Amino acid sequence: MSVQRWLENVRTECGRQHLPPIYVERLVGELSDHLTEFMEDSKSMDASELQPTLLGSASEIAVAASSEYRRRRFSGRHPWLVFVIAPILALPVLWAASLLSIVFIARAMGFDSDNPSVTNEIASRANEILPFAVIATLVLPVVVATLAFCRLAVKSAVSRRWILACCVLLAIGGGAASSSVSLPMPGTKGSVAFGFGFSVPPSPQQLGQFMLPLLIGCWMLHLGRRPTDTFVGS
Amino acid sequence: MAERKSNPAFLNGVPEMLILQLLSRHSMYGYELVQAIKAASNDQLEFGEGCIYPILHRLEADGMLQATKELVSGRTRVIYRATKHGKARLTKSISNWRRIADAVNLSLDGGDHVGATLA
Repeated sequence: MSVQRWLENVRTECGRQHLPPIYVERLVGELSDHLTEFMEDSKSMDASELQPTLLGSASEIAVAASSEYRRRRFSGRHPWLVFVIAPILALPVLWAASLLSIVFIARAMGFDSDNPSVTNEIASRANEILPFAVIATLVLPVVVATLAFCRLAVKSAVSRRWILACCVLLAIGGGAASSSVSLPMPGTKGSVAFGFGFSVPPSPQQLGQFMLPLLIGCWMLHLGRRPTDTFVGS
Repeated sequence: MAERKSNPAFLNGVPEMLILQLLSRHSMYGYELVQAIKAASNDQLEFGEGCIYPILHRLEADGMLQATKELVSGRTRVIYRATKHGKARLTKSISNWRRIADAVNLSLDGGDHVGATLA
């Protein structure tokens, strides 16, 4: 097997292991340098005689590279913790933060439960926007969490099953979540409610909330499979 | 040239220790390091030479090695050397290795003695 073909095989096998291209290029560069050194050491050897498999098979090297690359990161060493436990813990925190942000924005606009001081025009505008803001507080944390965990999974070169497990968990959590917010008006106090549950049949919004993490996960898996993806890690 | 065979899986962690040991003495590049391991082990330790680079990269990412690039005959050569953190890890690894090796030797040599004690 020619050196170039072997190096190309290493590149392909490393791609299959979802290793970042920049890392693969460095590895291939050093392997190529190793072979050159070997050639220079064995002066009598012709380039065509050189068997690059003396360094190991392409798949062996890719598996070793993937294993070592995963060991570099906490997420690679403890995928259960990072891609199963952490998403379950992260979602409530993100939801709480997004609902609190609505409360703070409402307060800043003058929607104070004790002393509402907004004009009728602002109040009616706010009430028009409110349903969308509430949906955003449900959906945005799930989207942010899915993107973050999928990106981490791709960077850590962990197996695809962790991405899928993480997305399914986020889809179940995201799909089951519902909340309602009412703004304080003169004579009435504002309220924030948050809960979980599935309606039968599920509403389009709930279906959308459920499908979104799965679609993002599929998209990230697709990006991670492309040899020239945007994930550059080191 | 025939394909190299790797040593058994129970040698996990040994290449790391040898790498740190050799690089704590001298800075070396990958090929030089592989030759040094072969020479130091009297050719008794063999592992897929290509598999040494992922280990070097991980040790570098963990802060145990420092890599610098050097231009040699028109190509870039990556030179590795052990850091303070790497040397500390090496001391710990050697101590663990000696403890385990002593325990294994004791078990292998002292089997009869244990049998007699139990009887």
